[in-house]
Amino acid sequence: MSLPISPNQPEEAPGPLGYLITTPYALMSFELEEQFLDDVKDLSNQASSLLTSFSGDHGTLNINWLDQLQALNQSSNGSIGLFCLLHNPSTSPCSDTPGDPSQGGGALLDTVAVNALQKLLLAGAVNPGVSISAALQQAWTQALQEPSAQRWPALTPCQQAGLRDAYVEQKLGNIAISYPSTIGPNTILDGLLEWQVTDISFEVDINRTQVVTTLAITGPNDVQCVIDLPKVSGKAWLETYPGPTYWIALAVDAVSCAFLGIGCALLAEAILVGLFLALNIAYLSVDLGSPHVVIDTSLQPDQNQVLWPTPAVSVTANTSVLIVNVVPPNLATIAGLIVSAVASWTNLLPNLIATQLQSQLAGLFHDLGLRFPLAESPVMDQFAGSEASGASNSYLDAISQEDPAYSQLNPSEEMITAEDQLTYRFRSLVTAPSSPPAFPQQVSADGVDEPCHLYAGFGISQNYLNLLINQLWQTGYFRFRLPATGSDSVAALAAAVESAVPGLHLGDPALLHAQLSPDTSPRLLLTEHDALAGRNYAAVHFDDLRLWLTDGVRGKPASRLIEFRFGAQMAGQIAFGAPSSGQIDITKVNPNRTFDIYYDLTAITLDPAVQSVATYGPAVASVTDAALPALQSIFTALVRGMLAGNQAAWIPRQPGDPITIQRFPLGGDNWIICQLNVARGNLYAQLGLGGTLLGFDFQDLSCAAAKFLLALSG
Amino acid sequence: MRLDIGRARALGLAGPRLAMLDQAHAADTSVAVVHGDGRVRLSSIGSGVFGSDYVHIRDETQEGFLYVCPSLRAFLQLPSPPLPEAVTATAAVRARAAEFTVQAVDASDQERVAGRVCQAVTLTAAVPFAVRWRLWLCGDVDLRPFAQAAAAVLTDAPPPVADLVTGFGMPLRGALSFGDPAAFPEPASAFQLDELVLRVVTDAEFNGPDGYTDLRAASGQSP
Repeated sequence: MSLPISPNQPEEAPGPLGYLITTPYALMSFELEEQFLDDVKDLSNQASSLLTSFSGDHGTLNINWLDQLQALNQSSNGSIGLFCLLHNPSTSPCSDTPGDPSQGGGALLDTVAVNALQKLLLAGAVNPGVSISAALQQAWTQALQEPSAQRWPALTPCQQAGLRDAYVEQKLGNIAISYPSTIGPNTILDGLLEWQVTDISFEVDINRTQVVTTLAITGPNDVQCVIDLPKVSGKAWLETYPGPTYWIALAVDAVSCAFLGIGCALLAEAILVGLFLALNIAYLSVDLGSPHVVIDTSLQPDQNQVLWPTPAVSVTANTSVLIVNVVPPNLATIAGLIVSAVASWTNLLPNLIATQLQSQLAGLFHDLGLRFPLAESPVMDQFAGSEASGASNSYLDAISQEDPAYSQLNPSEEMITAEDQLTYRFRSLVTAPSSPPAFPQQVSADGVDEPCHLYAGFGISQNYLNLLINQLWQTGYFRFRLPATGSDSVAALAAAVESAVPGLHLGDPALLHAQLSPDTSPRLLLTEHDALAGRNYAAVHFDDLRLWLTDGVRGKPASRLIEFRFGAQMAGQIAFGAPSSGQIDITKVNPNRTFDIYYDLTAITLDPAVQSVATYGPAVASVTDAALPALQSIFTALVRGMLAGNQAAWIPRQPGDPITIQRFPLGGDNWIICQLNVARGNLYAQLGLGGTLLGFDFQDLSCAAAKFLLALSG
Repeated sequence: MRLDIGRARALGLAGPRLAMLDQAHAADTSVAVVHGDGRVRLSSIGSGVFGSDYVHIRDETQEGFLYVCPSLRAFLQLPSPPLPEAVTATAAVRARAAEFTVQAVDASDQERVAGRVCQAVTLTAAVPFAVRWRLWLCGDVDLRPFAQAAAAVLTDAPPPVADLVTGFGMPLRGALSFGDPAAFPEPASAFQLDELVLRVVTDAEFNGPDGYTDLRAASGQSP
């Protein structure tokens, strides 16, 4: 079939190598949908509609929005329960019994925090970047000693809960902006007056308004968030005292008085500084007006050509400083000098806030590993270059490609760029109303249709998937040493061979060793035709599997060895996340890959045409090709054992869901939905949210309802 | 009254006190002075280098002074700041630093100031730098009782200087020049009495006006 190309994009001309309907390289594209931003904006505004103000003093502005929602939840006896949807803190004493309610967790921010913490552990961060107890820090340090995949599980459930709570409460739910709260001491008027501001305090008024006025893709490679705060004002506490020349000024000589004339009398006893001091002005009023915060986030490459969401924050505020006290006109000069010095400080404040917000946001993005290309195997990263592009108010996309140096056949001028058709094909899939199926607008939950929103997606070329499976093969990922017991054990294999070859006696299975591994790289093919017919969308071929059974060990030559050669194939599936308790959890961090290939172990097909056997030693010489038909079952069982770590059956779905839909439980009747389509040699993974959370008015959400929505305990 | 503040600053004259002056004010500064028994009431006329819209009342019988702000209808009573001992010693030294001597009485230089004939007198001092202080003094008998007080207010000079000045009469006009007259022909500071009124004053003129509030209270601070 041929998919429509976006009308805004001209048909591509065939390249010299003749590629047209498929992408020739190992490519991956990423796309962010406007809908995601709309929903985040809506949730943010619903939260801000419950907030009154933030305050800052002693040099720290605390945007403690989550604390306030928690306080609101408590003061309303749970009737205003948005907090419960966002955070489910652990309770004391915490029990390490698996699944104990005291561990809390499972709310939206908890999921984000756990994801970030796992990635920090994977990255070998020496601490989680938040303030934790010495005991938790020790547990964290100890976990770092484990292999990367074992670090998070090495922590007890309560340690995980403690870290999660700290991350949510300190990094996500409370943004602390520090600022220098003192100015001075400074002297003015040739040293006549000394003053200093001892503490500048702020009040950021939210006034239960919706502060996020824009959160949208506003241009090429730009997601813009605009926050308009109703009012920010504060006080600068002022101290004044006579300066070093004050007393000298009072003791002038005769020439000076002759010069000043009557002014000498005026100034001698009570120079204006004295008046100003006498007024004892305690504070200045600081007004930042209605600050306008603009956060532009774009994908920018680091030194390794990996794209990271990079925020650029600007804060615009009309700052003004004034003395609220009544000041005589004569003192206007002094007041003006102090006001202008404080104002020049407050003029710096918006930039100071912007810089820190920018740094904290960038840190959060890094913690969450929001990078592109995705964190696949380190080998894959070496092949990836990235560019980003976008179109206003629709979507943001990025694309990676092979390193031209890696693929010598493809001169760099032929490499597909960010404006490549892959992305536009992806758009076509996203917007196509029918075959291949568009992202569902509704999902069924207990017979009730719930809304479903598309948030983002990845376009992955078949070449990329083949490169991935090739890398797995090269690292020995498929090498399967048969265990001692079980249906895929050495004993089971020995028994099957003895059964297939009458008179053969292999001896004690405990003295035998066996291994199954592909001798050539497996292949992954996207099966577009089958997918359109509602069947599998990918097939994995293990063309040349080698199975050997021997009594040899290291240092002891084998006296007998049987080597079987056969091929196998099965349906393959792609899924994001990591296996957890017999199910793939998209919120869990896979230490090796963001997405992985999973194999349908219920329908393994063996290829009889490539099967053969070879032997060494007289004891096994009777094993010939004639035995092969009787060994099909054990071959199948062993392939199943080889791929047991990546079972397609772990991919969660609801009854009736097609194979192209994956539903990752998010709690209650809510799921992260992943739809997989294949077309033109590419796999398109579309990710979104479906369920009762969407369209909910969170301002009316009680804590009990929130916990019910996410099926939270406690 | 007119002051060349820039020149005074360049000479290091009056020190930090110059910072209190409105240096942007280029025109003359006018001040009204009312003398009573041991009391003086100074008030600004329009704006000037000393500011505007204020009244400054000194009463020798009381400590401190009263600052009155008509525009705010508020007053502020302040004690005279006690000078630290070290500063007092310094002040004494500085006060002695300039010793004026009468260089010449120029009988040919007579002018009428505020309708009265004045005789020019030139005083000079060599320390801390060359100073020429030319004063036009009126020796009218009716002014003699006020000469000392007027000279003290006009110059706030130490008593020896005030005595020296008032020995010739009451100053109605003055000009202070620094350095070589050829190089700096214009005086750095000059004052002139525009109008002289002899009348009976009342106590009310030296009291805080009725209905005025304490500036500390008006500015939101406790008095």
